Amino acid sequence: MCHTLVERDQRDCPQCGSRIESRIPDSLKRTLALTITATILYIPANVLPITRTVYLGTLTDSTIIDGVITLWNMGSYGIAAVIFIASVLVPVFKLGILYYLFFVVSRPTVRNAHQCAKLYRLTELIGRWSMIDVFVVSILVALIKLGNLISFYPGVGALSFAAVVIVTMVAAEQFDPRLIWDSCETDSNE
Amino acid sequence: MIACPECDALLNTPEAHRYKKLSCPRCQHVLSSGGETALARAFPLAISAAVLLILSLMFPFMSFERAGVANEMSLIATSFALFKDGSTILGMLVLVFVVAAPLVLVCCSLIVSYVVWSNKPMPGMKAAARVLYRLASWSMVEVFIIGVFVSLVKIAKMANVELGFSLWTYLALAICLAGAIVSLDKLLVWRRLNELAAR
Repeated sequence: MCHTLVERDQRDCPQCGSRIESRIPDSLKRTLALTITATILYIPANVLPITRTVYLGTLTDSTIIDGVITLWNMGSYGIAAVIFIASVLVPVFKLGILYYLFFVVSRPTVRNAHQCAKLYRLTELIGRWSMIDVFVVSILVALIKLGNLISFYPGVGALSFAAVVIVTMVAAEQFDPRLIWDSCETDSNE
Repeated sequence: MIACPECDALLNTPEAHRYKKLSCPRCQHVLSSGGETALARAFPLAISAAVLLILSLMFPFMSFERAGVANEMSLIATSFALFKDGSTILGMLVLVFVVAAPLVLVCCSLIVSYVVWSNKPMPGMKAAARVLYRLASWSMVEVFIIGVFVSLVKIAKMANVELGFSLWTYLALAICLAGAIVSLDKLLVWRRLNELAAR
């Protein structure tokens, strides 16, 4: 945690008090388990409605993709693109990268370590931005409450989607980047 | 000598790195921003962040009006509305990401930056630093702000939306908190804390 090097058999860092592990235990197994969980959760997140709107007495459900289409039809192309990237592309890419890293690191040698390190950093950077849609739901639900005239209610999809984001964030945290380098001791770029 | 946290390469940390960016020679992970001078900026930024967070919690965030009926919303209300509608878990998550995590981060960065600024050790400073670096990615102030602008676009055609005072203080909080965390370079802070603790 604080970069201090310690004796091999020490359990807690004398400087900062963090638990010391040479590698995150069962890093790959945990990453894979969490990534699969997130993939499964990704289905209800897209199929089930994230918001339910009452407008003049009629109830409409809307999923993530519906939201993007509505924005696009309204002419807000920029915002539609932001939501599409944050809610659709980023989670899919992130799941893809996690599977890819798992696959690469499970093999005996890692050839493209630099590329893997970059991908790993990318997943850490982009993951949190997928929460935008969940926050939009919470803002609309809190703000737009005018009875039967117009009201927003949260849908089950929003919870599954939040779960996808959180589980992939934990999966990325559980992935130990040092594993990329463990099996490539003869790296040509060194 | 330190080990790179991403690839375990061992490297000597030259004294010069205090003012110069230090990257791992093997994996190019940025080990230290070399901002010894930026460390002094962290304390004022953390104080500003604390004041801004308190202001953000006190005033209305946005208000919404249609056909004479109006509704006003505060920052905390975004999660409480979800509680009321039965989405307890979702409400809790929003509360954690938007209010609780930033609050804890502000407190921790206040403690750590005060210690660095005053050069006086303080009980709990190491615990604060540990929480600070571990929690940083779970605070989503800036993501929430993008969410606010997306919601604005979504509802602009349905009704009159007015932006409240808290929205601006929250935006400023995002900048100050990010600035404080960036200024508190991990390697330099731990070195300073350990020097102080050894005294």
